[in-house]
Amino acid sequence: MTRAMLELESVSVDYGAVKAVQSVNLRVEEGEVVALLGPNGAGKTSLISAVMGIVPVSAGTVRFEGQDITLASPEEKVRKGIGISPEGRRVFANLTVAENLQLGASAQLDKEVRAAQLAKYLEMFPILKQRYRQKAGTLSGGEQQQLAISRCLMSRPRIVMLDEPSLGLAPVIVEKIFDLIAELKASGLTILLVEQNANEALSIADRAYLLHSGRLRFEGAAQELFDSDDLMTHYMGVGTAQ
Amino acid sequence: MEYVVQQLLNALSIGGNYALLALGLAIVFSVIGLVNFAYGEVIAVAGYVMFAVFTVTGIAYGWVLMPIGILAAVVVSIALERVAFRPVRYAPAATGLLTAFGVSILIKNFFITVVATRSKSVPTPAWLGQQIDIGIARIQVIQLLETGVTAVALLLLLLILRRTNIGLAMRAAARDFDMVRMVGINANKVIAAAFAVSGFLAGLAAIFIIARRGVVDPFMGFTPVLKAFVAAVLGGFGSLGGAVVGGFLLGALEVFFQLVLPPSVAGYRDAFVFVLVAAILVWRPQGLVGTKRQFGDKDE
Repeated sequence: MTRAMLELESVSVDYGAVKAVQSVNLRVEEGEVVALLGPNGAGKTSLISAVMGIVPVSAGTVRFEGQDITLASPEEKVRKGIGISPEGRRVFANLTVAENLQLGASAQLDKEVRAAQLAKYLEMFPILKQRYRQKAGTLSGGEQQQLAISRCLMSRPRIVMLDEPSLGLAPVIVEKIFDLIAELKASGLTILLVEQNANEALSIADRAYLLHSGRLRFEGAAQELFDSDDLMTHYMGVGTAQ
Repeated sequence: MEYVVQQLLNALSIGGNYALLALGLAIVFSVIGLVNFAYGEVIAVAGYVMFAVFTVTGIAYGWVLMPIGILAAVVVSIALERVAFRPVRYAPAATGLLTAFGVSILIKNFFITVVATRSKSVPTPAWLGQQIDIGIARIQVIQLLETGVTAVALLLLLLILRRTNIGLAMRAAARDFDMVRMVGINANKVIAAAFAVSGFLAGLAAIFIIARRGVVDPFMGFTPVLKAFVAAVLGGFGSLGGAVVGGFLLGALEVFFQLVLPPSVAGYRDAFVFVLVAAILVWRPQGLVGTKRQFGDKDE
């Protein structure tokens, strides 16, 4: 087995007495797209926030390229090469699209690299070029999602964690966002995709994890989970069998 | 005509001072949600450093002593964040508030114990009080200086907030501090920058306060910061634009009531001002410029 890019070893997250995530083992290899599925309240976002360092890991170890980063600050993690597009998008609504992207590149000190990154993503997301001088708060949900994703790509991450990129978007926009993720995958980017939208996520992922009530219930090939109607019905409340 | 221009400038210079201090409070609040009740002591420290330099070296109030006072305010503001506020950054908001009160009491009593309770003189040059003729009116140099410097400081701050990366980060942090960290910006840097700006504004205010009074005392920052707090709330607490609007409006109201109140009730000027401020807040609880909480805003 190759060395994992991101590796979680019995990671737990507590909020006081509430155990949000219990002893999760998870790994993402370089170039892989891994789906982390689970219903609302399963602990997906808690886990991602803990990996990022926004909420403390109460037990366990997080490694990035073999290095223990459990206690590193979020800003250190971004500098090491972890990018996040968080749940709810969290664009800076009071700033323009241009300013949002500029902040996204904060960890990238080389001016020329920053300019190249910006040009690349404005081409990839033409809508952001159109809305360049507008306040991010005036963008539609789908546009904000594209901004959140490109903002995190601006730092040239080695792995991106996309937390519910399809949440609250119209089906046609959801399709568009997943096309985009497929494009990122094709470019060789390593992705941890957190989703409630199991069908779409599994169709794009190589491997998948299923989280429910803070515990992992399944780990394996995406296709295997997709085919397991029992698991999907039981934990996600949806059947995938057509 | 001359009378109107003079009173207008009066309102501008008093309001400008409030605006600087209200901004200093608002910028720290917007970034980390701390109401810095030790802000008056930042002014006092600037004053005492100027007093100390004057006493030791004999350098009188002027172009050398002013930057020294400003620098002292910046340094003490950054130092307070590092020593007092950083350890309680992630504690509940009330802890930060109490810490600020503690720091305030500590510094005040330091000056009382080490220097004196009574005021110490920092003589100001005569030219500050001189009147110059600008054609339509004769005005005091100090007022002109105050209004001019405040305008330049506000413009400078606007440029920093709009054009620099750290300024952008401060504006973004006002909205979503954790997200600022998740794009890779060092939280400590943003907060230190906010305290530095806040200290700079307190330093500016301090040199004008001393220019008007010619003395320093341990309580010299209390009233100005109290007024600045009212100004910030009037404009919409946490809103930077609101702090400026609130500061100038409060200055204008004070000058207005000073002029229209008959001598028998003139002593109650502040009461009249505050009643009006209270009435405005009943009409607009979120302040003049402040907006109601929206989805995605900080919930502090």
